[in-house]
Amino acid sequence: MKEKKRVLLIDDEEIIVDILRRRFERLGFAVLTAYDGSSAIDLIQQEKIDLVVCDVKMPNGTDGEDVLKAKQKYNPSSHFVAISGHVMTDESVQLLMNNGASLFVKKPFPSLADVTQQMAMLVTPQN
Amino acid sequence: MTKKDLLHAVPAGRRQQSAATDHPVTEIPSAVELDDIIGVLQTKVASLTELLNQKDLQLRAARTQLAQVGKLATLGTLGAGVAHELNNPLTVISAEADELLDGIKQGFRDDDFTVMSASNIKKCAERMRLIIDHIRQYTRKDEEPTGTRLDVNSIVKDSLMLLENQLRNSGISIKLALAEHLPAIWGHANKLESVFQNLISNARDAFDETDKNQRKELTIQTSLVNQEIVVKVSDNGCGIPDEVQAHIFDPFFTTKEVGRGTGLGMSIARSNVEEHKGTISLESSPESGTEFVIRLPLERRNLRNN
Repeated sequence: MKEKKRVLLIDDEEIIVDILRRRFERLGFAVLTAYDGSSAIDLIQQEKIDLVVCDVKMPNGTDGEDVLKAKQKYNPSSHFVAISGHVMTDESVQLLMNNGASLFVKKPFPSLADVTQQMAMLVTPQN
Repeated sequence: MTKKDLLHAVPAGRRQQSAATDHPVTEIPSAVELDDIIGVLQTKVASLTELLNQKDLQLRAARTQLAQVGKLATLGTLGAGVAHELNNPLTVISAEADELLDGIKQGFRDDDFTVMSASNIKKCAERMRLIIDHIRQYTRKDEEPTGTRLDVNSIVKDSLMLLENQLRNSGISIKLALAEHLPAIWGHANKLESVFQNLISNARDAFDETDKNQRKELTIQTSLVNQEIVVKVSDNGCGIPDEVQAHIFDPFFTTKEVGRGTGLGMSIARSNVEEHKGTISLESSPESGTEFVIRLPLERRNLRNN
């Protein structure tokens, strides 16, 4: 049986994490969750992860950029999707992409189905 | 000295000679002429008084307008924060609605999920309603010129409402030490709120200069001391240089780059505090950070007549 792809969902808004979790479970992913940057980095160091979906701005000092750096270091083959509810300049989005992000998504999501499908396609192009 | 005294003191038509030069130095007017002069002076004084009254009215109107501009300016600076505050619940509403719709189309929903999604939507809609309501109240011109009874602790909490998430996302921890059972004071909630918001957002900006890994703390404390309500807003940031401290309440004084900040915030804050017959002062050093102290006296109807 095909091994499930593993996704790590990171956002300080628990409801958002929960909504994304439901979607990814339906898409056949194994889901890990974190609600702040440092727990996320711990998981990235310890677990095999195929896809990281991470809010760019989070409280307590560790934000999306730091998580991205950790992903590059410990899980370099995984994909990184940055999500943000803040206004992001083109430069800051470009910076994330240059540093290893595969996709940038704005909140609110215009369509939850499309957005999660797009993210899933990064790891399973034949889906 | 009355007009009558003046008239009696001066004999009619007398000229005075100067002892040294023989030139007449002072022509003393007659009683009638003096009468006229006094009349003219009185008319002049009356019209100057009238002019002063008009100017005073204009000044009050300008002051109200400035306060309104200040409010809108503060709202502008809060704008980014407001957009974010509204964006979060909106994201949940949109995503949960998608869940409900897709669930129905694809048949993966059950009653428990439906109830959960709908409840989340309701909770977020309520949060947005509170935020929008708050903004409306804040920008409305004060309709109660004589003010209302206020609980300073509630105003402190309200002032955090539009800034909380921004502060958290900047890694700033907020500590509230609010005295229980503070007596009510008389005043304008919006004006006091804008004072606290101004101090809080200045503290947030001050922390921008701070190293990301350093613990950032904002503390707001309220207490009753000597018949005054004392509100202290303090941060453990980098402090304010002495030369800036000297000008901090001056209108249009700002240390921010062009386009960021109007320089009106602190002068309007002081004006608002003074309208409540209060005082605002600060202490600041690079070692211990900055502390603003606002004192508001307790007397009933302590607003200056507006």
